[in-house]
Amino acid sequence: MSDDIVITAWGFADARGFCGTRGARGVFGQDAAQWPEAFPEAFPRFGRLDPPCKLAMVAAELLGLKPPRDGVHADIGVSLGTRYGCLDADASFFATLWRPEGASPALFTYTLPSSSIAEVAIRYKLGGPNACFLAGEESGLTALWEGVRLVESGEARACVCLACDGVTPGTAAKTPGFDAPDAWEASAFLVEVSEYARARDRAPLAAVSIQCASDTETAADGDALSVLRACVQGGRDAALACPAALRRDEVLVVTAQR
Amino acid sequence: MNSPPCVITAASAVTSLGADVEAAWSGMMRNIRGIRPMQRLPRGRYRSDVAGEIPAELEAALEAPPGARVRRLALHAARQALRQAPGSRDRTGLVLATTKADIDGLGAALRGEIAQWPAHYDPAALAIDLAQALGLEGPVLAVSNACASGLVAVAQAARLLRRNDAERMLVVGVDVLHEFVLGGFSSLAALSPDPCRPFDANRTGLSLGEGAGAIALCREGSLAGTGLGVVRGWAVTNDAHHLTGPSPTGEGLQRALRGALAMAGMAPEAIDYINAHGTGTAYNDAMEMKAVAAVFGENAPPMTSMKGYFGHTLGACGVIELALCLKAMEQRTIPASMGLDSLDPGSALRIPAEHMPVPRLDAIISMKSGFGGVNAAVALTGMEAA
Repeated sequence: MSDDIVITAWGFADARGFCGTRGARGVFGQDAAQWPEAFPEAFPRFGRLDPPCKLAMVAAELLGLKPPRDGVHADIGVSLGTRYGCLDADASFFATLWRPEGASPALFTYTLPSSSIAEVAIRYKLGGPNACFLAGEESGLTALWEGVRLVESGEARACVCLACDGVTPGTAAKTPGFDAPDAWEASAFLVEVSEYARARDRAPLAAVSIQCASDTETAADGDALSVLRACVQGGRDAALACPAALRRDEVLVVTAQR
Repeated sequence: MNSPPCVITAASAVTSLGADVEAAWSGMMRNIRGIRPMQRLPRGRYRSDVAGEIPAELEAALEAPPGARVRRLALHAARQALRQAPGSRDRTGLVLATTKADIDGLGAALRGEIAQWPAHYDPAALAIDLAQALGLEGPVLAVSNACASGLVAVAQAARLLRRNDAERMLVVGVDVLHEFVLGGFSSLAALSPDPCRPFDANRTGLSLGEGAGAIALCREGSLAGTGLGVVRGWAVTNDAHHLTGPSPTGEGLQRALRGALAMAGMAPEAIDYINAHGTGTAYNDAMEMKAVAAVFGENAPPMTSMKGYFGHTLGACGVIELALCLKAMEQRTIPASMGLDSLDPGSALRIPAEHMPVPRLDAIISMKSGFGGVNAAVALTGMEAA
């Protein structure tokens, strides 16, 4: 069982509030001023983050990770999935591009889809492998899938699997053809080798493994990450179908710890 | 951890120096700078008026139908690579690396010049479109990890091959010049007014470029035909230090270099050449020199940057420069670090300012770092070493 891969923590944030392993609950809507409720201690940097980074940070905070006293957690990676990436920062930066005083450097620093990885890595000192996947509606599932694979292969002992999209109504309104009004949520799961988790006193919520689809009977419906959240929260089993882009006849089997 | 090696069966690149690897290499060997006064983009507006722009005549001759520039460049590079690489397309997948994809399209949409969602602004949509245009039926992914995107994509493709998710993977890296990136790097005071001078004591920043690169990879055992080189190891790390600035100690890059060497089962002394990121900014180059000195010690192999030839091509640079590393291996010549006049006095490394023919060039490590603290390193060898 020492090579088992488990989920030990989760966090979720959307326009209604946030909740996760640490049991925190808040109501913040899109008013950033209320968001630091998620943080047990002062985090002044939070106010400077762009919307996706704020969402990702709230979800990640609920995983309960602590930075090491010195150095970094070199064996903890981050796998991020995002559909709209930094659309909000891109649109905001475009608006400053031709102004007389010059473009905004503060906005430019957030014009990469991978910015959330950086912010989460900096706060919790996660120095392991990281990747930002853009895979349409299945971006979050892809990040989870690849995060599990990363741990399975031994490239990382643990991985923060993040799914995050934060597009403000203003950006949505001025971007022609943008039709995802609900692009405002983040999910985080801490996936790790069970032995690694045990050594850090993190209890497993569910075991995960990738299996051939024909070996399983369960198939998940609807939004994969919602199903996963329900599993680890509610102690039930499930199987998530492989992201279509990977074209594998496989499922991620989730076995809840009861 | 060890990983089965992957063979590179094809490599292509389109840069401001030309439409293929041969043209880029030929230009480099003749010390031609592809960083010139900008023609397509406005001059006098930003901190620099020079960049590695794809010349109009070259752009007109690209092997790609009209459409978004980013798609045209990517398709051109991908088609070149697939022509060289044997293998069936139904088991071939694609990993796309880009930082801004069709940023032109988003700009046009926000200015009201187009009324529909700019499809290729989404890297996933661009990747799927490229795969369809090329007839590839394997897995399709898009990754975006700042300026390390290209090498992160190579690592991701190698992972997919390791898992037997595909028989062959095509890695395409692409980014185009746009006022968006010019204005952004200008606002950060990171652009050099003159063509960049990586590792020089008097370096003043980076020069932007644009282009696309593609490499085809297959598992070592499934090689049909001749290989160009072998990906033996890789590692991706994060500094966890700062959103835009590299770690001053280079600790994250050290871990990437050591990780790639460990996966390859190679000692540092086995490496013959280091393909640096070498952007020409004060902080990046200093960080790289520290990291290389720490990992390779006093006898570090020669290290150069290719940015002085065609600029910093952002998400494409990892793939483009890997393609040119294979050419360097074939020609047994370490390309000079263009723009280097007087070496940074803080460095005891060998950074040649002249091209350096060598008797042996069998093992190369390429490294790239980017915003967000990401570092990636890929160790490759020639086929003889396989």
